Amino acid sequence: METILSVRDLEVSFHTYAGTVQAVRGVSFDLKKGETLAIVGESGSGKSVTSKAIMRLIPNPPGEITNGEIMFEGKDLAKLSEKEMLKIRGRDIAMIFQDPMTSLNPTMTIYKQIAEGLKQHQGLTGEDAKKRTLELLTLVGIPNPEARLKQYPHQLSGGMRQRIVIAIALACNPKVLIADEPTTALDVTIQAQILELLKDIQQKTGTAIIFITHDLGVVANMADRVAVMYAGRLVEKGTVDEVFYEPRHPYTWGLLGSMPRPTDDRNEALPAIPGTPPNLLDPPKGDAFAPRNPYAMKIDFEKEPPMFQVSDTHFASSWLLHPQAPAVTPPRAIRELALKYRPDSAFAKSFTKGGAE
Amino acid sequence: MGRYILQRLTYGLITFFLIATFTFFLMDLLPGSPYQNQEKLTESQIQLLNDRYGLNDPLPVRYATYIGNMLQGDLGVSFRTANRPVTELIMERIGPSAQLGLQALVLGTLVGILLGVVAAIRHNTVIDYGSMFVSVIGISVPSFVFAALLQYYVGVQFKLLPVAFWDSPAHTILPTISLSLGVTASIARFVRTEMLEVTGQDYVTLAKAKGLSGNAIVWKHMVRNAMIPAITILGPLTAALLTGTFVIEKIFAVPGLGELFVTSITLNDYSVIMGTTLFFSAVFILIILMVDLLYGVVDPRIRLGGDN
Repeated sequence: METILSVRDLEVSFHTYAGTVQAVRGVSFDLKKGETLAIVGESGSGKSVTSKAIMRLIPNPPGEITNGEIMFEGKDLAKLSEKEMLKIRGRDIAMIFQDPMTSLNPTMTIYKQIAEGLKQHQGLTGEDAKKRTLELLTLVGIPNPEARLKQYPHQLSGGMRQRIVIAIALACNPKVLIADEPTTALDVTIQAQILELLKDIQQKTGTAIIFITHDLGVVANMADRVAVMYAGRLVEKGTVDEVFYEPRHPYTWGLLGSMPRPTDDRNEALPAIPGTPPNLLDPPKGDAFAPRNPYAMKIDFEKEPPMFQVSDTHFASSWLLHPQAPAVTPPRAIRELALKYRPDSAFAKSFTKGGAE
Repeated sequence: MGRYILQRLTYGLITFFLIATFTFFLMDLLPGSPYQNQEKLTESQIQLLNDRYGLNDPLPVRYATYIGNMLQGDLGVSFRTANRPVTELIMERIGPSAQLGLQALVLGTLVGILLGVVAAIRHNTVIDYGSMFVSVIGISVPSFVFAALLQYYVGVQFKLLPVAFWDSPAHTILPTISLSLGVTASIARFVRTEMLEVTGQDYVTLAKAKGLSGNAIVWKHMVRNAMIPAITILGPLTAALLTGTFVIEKIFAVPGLGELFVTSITLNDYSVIMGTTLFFSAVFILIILMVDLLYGVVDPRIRLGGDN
């Protein structure tokens, strides 16, 4: 499929009083037309910064894109002027924010907030703008849209507000939609509704979605492909099945292993990744995950691993994939997942063949 | 909404009544009496005048008479100016004062918003420091100092504008500027702080993500939200303006209410003191009410009553 957005070696830094924080340290990925790419990682891994960098919404100062390119329709967004960026933001690339309670302007009516983008990019005013706004409100599943036009955000519930935020993002039929943890601030039933809505919208409009989240359940539900971020780098990327059932990076193992499953023994503690992420003011030499990694080898502390290709679509950045690396047995939860869903994969065979456990 | 206004007006009336009572009794403590210093009057003439205006009655009786008359809209007559009714005196003087106060409030607010917004947008630059320097001076230096400086430089040295009196629009410029500087300074500081606060809000990022230009974001999304807390200080600022006019009117020889008020105190002109005090109180009470209603206009979240 055709690639619509291509990020290469993206680096973003923030200049603070304490020093320069390297929030994103060389991230590369492609987004294909109409697909959903999930970027997962824990807090502070750089996933939000990556998405804001694509929109060029990193406040400068203190933030700065220090390296890399963001290719979109033949243009490098990282190098466009602010004026040229105005034409892309909200029209070609739109964004949905995390907290619907704060992302709408409390002093403006719903209609004005939606119609603003329509006027800016498509010159729609008056009846045309109103008609399109009603269309959008219907599309995002707002009942009785006519009555909502004159209402203010505080008169709507959180779920409704998030639908409005989505309507604002969809106003100009964007080619890329960036959803930055769009369901984190919502309760579980509303989460499910919003996810359904996003899927539905993607089917109707064919927009590509970058879905930022730390919720692996949401990823499994939404994404075509997954990129796992840690300490400002991508550590593993592949299709959902590859990352969930044949994960290769110990960090991905840790993430998947710490997800509770209905079959878990209730008396057993839920596995967690020990330690904390590194301070990006001074990123560690070698693999940033090494200090927390029970599988770390000597080289992990000395040299950063390259991206190893596992399959056409699957990449992971771990020295364990090096031909000279010793064979290791992944944690039990990972083995069970692989054996259950991908018993014939090379990954499953890699630890059954040796007859481990 | 109507109910709210009615309730507020009732409270206002109570406040008004209390002010009237306090002022009346406090005034009695002023040294001297209206006719005491008249050299051309004999003792018996003064006695006669005091009897004529009921000044010999005991305090509670005088109070009851005054309140009774006040409720009928009669604020008494001036003891000085040829028995003219106080209401007539106030009406005669209100024009210049109202114009001066209003001009100063509008000018001060607009310039204050502009300074505050510009300082916030150019945060931590020379422009920011400059406008905050101006506003610190505006807050800490009293208006009569500006008045004297403006009179001297603009009026006397460069002869650009009239130094005093109240004859043409040009005459109003210097007093208005002197009076508005305090307002400008307070509003500017407030708006700047609030603008910086609003800059980090999610809805500003969302507005940016819509592809709006910097100007549209500032004026459509940020200023209105930054104004909400700034409205709070409009009430106290108006009070400061009212008292400020006394001094400014005196300096620029503006024939306004403030001048009438100050003179009446030095002359023990009881009914004029009462009349002007009550008039200023009424204006102030109404302004506070208007400021509270203004909240609802700017911020839909605190719009009152069942217009949901």
